[in-house]
Amino acid sequence: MTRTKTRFMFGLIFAYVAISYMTGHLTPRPTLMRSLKNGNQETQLSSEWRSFLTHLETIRALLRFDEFTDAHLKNEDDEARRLESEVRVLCWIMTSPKNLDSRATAVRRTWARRCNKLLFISSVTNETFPTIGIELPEGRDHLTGKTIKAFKYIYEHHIDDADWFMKADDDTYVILENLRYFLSGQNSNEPIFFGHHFKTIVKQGYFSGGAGYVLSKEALRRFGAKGNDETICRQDGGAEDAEFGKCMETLGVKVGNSTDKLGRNRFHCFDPDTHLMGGYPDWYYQYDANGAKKGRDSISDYTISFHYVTPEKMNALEFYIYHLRPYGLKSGKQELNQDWGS
Amino acid sequence: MTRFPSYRDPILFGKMQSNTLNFVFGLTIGLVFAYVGISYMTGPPTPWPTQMRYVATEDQETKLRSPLRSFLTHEDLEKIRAIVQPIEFMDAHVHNDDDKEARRLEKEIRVLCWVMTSPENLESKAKHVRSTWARRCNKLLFISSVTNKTFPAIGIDVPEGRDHLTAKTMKAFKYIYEHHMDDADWFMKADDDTYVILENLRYFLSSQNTNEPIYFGHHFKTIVKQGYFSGGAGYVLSKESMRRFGAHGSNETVCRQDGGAEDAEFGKCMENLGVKVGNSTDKLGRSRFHCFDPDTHLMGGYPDWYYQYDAHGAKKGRESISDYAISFHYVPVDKMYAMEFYIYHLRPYGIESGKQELNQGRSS
Repeated sequence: MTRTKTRFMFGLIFAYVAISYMTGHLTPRPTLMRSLKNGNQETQLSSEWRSFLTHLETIRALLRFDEFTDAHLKNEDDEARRLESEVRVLCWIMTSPKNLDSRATAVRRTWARRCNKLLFISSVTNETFPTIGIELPEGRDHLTGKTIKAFKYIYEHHIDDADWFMKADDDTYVILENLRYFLSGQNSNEPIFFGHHFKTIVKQGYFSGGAGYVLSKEALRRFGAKGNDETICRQDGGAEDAEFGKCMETLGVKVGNSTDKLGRNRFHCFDPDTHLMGGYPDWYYQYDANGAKKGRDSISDYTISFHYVTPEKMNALEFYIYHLRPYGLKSGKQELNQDWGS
Repeated sequence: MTRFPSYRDPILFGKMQSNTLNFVFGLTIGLVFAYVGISYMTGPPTPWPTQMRYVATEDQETKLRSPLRSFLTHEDLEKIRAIVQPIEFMDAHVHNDDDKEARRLEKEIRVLCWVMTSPENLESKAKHVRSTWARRCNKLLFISSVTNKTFPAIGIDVPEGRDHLTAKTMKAFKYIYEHHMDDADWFMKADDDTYVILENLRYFLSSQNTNEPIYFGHHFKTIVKQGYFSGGAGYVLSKESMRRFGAHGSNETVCRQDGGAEDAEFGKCMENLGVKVGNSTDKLGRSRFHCFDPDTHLMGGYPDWYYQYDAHGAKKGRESISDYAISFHYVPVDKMYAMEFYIYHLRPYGIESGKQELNQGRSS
């Protein structure tokens, strides 16, 4: 009798252990981790407190948020409006059908409405949202193809709609006023583009895809003329931002310097808290072209972009940047642009 | 020759069969148990509001089963404190800010801030409070259970722990009444995980009269007849309130000297002294003191109890928070630096934040 009981217990324990492994409950690593892909590396951040905060944000992402009514009393935005008509920016957001309701909607409701022209590019056309469908399967293996086709589409249909052409992800947050301020000191007829500079892989370096990068009109013209040539620009596969960087270099488009007068970055490939606290993954120290600074030294007051921003964080950033303010402190105009362009 | 069990050998085969059967049976039951057990532990995927069961005031938080919360608690803050280094912001010289108005208010409306802390939180929390928002107070005191001359922190002779927060508060205000009454016009209590925007506090108080028996904070409508203010969100007393407290606050029949929830007990004390709860909502009906962190108020991820406690309808979202918000609670230390950055540094070029007229008329 005891022998059968033993086997019974054995079966019980075996089953429990099997299920635990399958659902991941016995694994020592936190089950929610941030996965970063850059170049051909995939590095996982498994710091415990970061995974905890990711967990929190995941939960929060389930909650919906309200529209902004922007009820301001007495704002003076003449300067911002002037720049809006002088420095026209076309934003195209790389998204996918499954992200429309959550991320793309958040982007559209928050920062992207400040673009002069806004396009959402997905693998499937959606008339209501609306999104433009590029005929490519979803997934990391086709991000390069998506980017190449997207810029081609914009070259063919929208080159006259703007002076500068920015690519962003659906988890990028961009402060358009600061982008225009920076670009107001640049020349769109130069073959140049700007973003968060990585010094590896491409000789002149390239820009992080997630932080967003912005092309001059001349850069887009050159791409439109020769970008479909497989010998010049890889048409698909590889890491989107690195491949696009090689493509730009081959076309003679230069990487521009977008640091401010105090040497601080304006495009950022991580979210604000990471840059402030310096919780960088190891690879970042080899990639960042500006010394992988952290804290105050790494972020300009006129910062342009952040990456890995969840929808609810976008909502919060709208609140912090455009609403919450200290009474009696009129933020002055800082002269933060450098004098030279690249 | 060894005998292998075969169908021709009924006894052995029967035994093996029954052994296998038992194993399979055990396996099945085990699978079922494991599935049920693990499902129970990870919590069923019901919509999150039904899983939050927070009890009573913040002082008696009782966490129940599910990890599906979207607001921060003190325990969360303990986990987050690990890798924070102070951030120095050293670019004020290029700001070109016009802060005449803020400076004028700083002189006219003197605020004494006292921050409730403890010996083990001095380095991990109070230090960051001191390097961020608290340096904007006209007078700043850190009140702990042990005096620390270097920090500096004032030691109130009260044991640490949630059971003595009331005593700490009573004794702290008593101390301030005895030593610092002339140093300020208004007296604010905050925790070491509260973030306060002093410019907005002064702006609000500029429309109030410090000779009235009144105090302000995040209004809870329960427990005390006129309601009381959340301890964590911070509350600020007028000079007259301080006088009344100084005169009668040590009387046990008027103010409970220890035990209970600090903010509720202090609220009863204020009511007994005839000090009124003031209304600090702005002209658009939005709140200025907040008992949770900004993201929670923006998202509305509130625990259930909040809906019974909040006196203004537990609103959420951007329209519920004033542009001139004053305080937030449960702010982890790294977030304090982030808020410094967002509020005083990151800005959109070309948009001048105008002076908004957000104060209501005299409030009561």
